[in-house]
Amino acid sequence: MDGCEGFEIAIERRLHGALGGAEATALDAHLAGCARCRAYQASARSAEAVMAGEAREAIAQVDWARVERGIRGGVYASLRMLVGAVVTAAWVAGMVWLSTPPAMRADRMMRTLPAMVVVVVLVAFVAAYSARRLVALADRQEMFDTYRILVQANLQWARRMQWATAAIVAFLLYRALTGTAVTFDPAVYFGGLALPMAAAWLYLRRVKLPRAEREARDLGIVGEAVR
Amino acid sequence: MAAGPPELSSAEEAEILAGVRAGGAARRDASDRLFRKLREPLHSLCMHLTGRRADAEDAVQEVFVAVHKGLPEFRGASRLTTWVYRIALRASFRARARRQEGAPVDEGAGGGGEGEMVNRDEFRRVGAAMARLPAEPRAVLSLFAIEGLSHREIADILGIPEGTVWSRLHAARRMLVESLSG
Repeated sequence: MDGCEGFEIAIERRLHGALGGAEATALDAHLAGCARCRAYQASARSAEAVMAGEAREAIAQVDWARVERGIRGGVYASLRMLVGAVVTAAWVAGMVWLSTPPAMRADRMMRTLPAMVVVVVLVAFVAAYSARRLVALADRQEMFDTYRILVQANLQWARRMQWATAAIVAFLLYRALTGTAVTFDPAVYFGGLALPMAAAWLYLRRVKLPRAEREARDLGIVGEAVR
Repeated sequence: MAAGPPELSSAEEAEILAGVRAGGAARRDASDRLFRKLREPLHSLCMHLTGRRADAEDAVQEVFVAVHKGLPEFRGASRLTTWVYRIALRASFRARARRQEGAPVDEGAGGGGEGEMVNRDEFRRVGAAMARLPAEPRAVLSLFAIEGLSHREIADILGIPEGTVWSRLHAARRMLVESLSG
């Protein structure tokens, strides 16, 4: 805080058309004798002019048709996620089929089916949630306080999930290597399940978590909250 | 002072919302109308917040996908534009976070004239200084750089009292000045 802070705020208000007549007169009188405030005013004007010029130039180069195509594609992203879940479920069903002796396949498939349905329903739920995540923030009050809470929660979720996923992969590999069963081949069954889980772990570790950490740092969430 | 006025009158907002609720072709028309009205100021905002044109385009796409999906449930607790700008802020931060650490910001394209060379240097200088700021001051400065957004609307977007918005802008400007000289 210093004696010029009020005048600097008045400079901002004038720059954005929100300074009344009497206040403008007082500001002009101050500016006449204060080099520091004149420099502040020049810097504010210049930065805004540069930002405006940069935005104009960028807008002139946007291919709006491409942006519109991207929007149309994005609208169906949840559907693609659901298709991915169905493919994964089919992959697991395939592992069950391949790892089971022919005589027992039908029975084992029938027992696995409910789990597959649960997976697809869960992914459908996540897809719907993810589509609404951006919108959820828009209804809240203090934007950045709310945003920080959401980002911190997202970061904690990613961190816990990477360990949970790693534990599941380790368990599946252990069962694949040491398991014995009469009705199915543990190496194919558990090994087949370990593959998509390992891919999920890699995604969390290499993409999701670093991204959440970058977002947290950008918001000024530091120290233990990030690391 | 960036892109053209983003103002949507209350009557226009009501027409768009009525179109969305009607569904079918009316919903598509309403979404198109909103896109055409807000695409430029939103692109400016996303550009300043992400520092890169490609990221800004991704963020604009993400905003309109979210708007398309969320609009039928929009209850009018705020103005439609306020709601869309809040979505744009988060989409921009997410787009920026998707970028690898240390990836460069755009340096301003421009032509080859002397004036444009000066502009390009200034773009680079201000862009780099903005990129060093944390999300919140970057958002305040970027919102104030959009022509036609009043300080009341900016206060609504940020969810802060009207009187506080000037001190936030001042604090952000001070940080920018320091970043420019740093």
